[in-house]
Amino acid sequence: MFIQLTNVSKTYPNGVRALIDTTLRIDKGEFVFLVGPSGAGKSTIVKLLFREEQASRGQVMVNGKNLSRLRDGRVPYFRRNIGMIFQDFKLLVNKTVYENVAFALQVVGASSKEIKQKVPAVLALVGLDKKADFLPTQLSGGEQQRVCIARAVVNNPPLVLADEPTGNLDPETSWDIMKLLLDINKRGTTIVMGTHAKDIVDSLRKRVIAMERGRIVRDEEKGVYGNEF
Amino acid sequence: MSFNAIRYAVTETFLSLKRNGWMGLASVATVAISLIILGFAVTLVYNTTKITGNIESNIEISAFVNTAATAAQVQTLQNEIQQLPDVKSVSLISKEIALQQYQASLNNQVLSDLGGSNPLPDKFVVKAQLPEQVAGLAGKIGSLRGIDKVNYGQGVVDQLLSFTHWARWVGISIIALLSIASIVLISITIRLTVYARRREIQIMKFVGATDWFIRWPFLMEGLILGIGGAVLGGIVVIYGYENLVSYIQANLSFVPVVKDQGFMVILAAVLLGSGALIGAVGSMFSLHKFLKV
Repeated sequence: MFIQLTNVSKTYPNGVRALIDTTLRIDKGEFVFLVGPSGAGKSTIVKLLFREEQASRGQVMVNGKNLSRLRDGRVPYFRRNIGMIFQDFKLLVNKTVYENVAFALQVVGASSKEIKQKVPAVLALVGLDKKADFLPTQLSGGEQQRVCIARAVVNNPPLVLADEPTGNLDPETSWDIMKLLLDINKRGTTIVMGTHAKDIVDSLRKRVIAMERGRIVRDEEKGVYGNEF
Repeated sequence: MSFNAIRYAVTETFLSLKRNGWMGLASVATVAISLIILGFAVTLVYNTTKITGNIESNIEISAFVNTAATAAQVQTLQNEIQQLPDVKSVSLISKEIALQQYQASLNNQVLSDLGGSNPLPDKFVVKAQLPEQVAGLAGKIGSLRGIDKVNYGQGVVDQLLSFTHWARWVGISIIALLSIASIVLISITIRLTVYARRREIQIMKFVGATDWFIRWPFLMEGLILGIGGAVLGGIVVIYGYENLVSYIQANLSFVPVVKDQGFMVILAAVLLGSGALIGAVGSMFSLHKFLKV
């Protein structure tokens, strides 16, 4: 067991019940799609796994850590084992591709030797080794998302969380990004991805967890996007 | 903290100082001005305390003995006063000595005019332990048999005491208000930096940077602005005060001003400490809410 949610509920301070009595288990090395309409609770699960939010009730275990017992001071160290991929990439526009990735290593105190070694390797992995000195504004959307992925995996985390990574991309580019994520998954990294991309989910036939109004309504291996929403 | 983290913090600090150029200069100037006023307020308070302290410790009670009293009675009176509580010292100025002093002050004119008689009374000069005790002690001495009249500059003591009290409080209030103003300005400067770099801070939180790692560059920027202002203000205060002291000693020598190296060193340390504190508090204010991710 790698991720385990046990009877987890999340009520936000404004009274919204985003997650209701949810139990969920994800094993190491899995590729999981979280699907469902906006506000169904996908983002809340991602936030709970990242310890951006804490459960109101129930227990969240990630990589052997009980997140409700994790002290605030330990959260940064916990997060170093998780790569985050965003719909809007969240790149620093005044830094080059190389610097954007190196930044993630710098702020966790990596040595310059380590940085010089790891950054070119991960840029080669995402196919951007020729554009290391470009600024994000000189790149296409797909290329920017590759930088974001490179930054997420440069530390070689066991878990990658992706919140609608193809939401801002055209279908063809989306497929390139999915191939990249599948490659990363093949290396043993667990990937949890929230998405609205029906055709991607339907053709990849991975595990699908469908959510609606704060509850899991369907959880199947080799699943499809479904017609319930 | 690792070497890499320190190098990162230092680089970021100076980049940010460069980026914020004018705003940083404005905060340094504000801190400097605040600390200049603070410095002069401190020297003023220190001087008035010293001066009033001098005056306070010199307040004397003059008790005049009935001219009919015999030498034995005068001696008894001196013993009685000596035994009153709160008395620090008693000395007798006999009428002969009083006349001599009087004469000396009038160029030896009086003695011949008086034709040999001495109209002056014997006088006790009494000092109290504390200035606050002067009024009560004077009352007790006045009620002794054989004492005609008591003088102690009535009212002056009370006024002096209330003035020092008042001066101290005004000084402290001005200093407090200026410190708050400087803290607000530094915090605005740092807020600009934090705001300009809010995306970076968010990403740092996402990739697992610790709060202290994120704080250091901002804290250092605040400290540098605060200490920069303190150095500038300190130079003005110390150079200005030394010149003022020389001027007063040359032209207004009756005004007792304090001039000692120890006080200057303490003043410099106080200004530097205040500058650093203002910088640190200012930057922490601005960072607080941005660290919650």
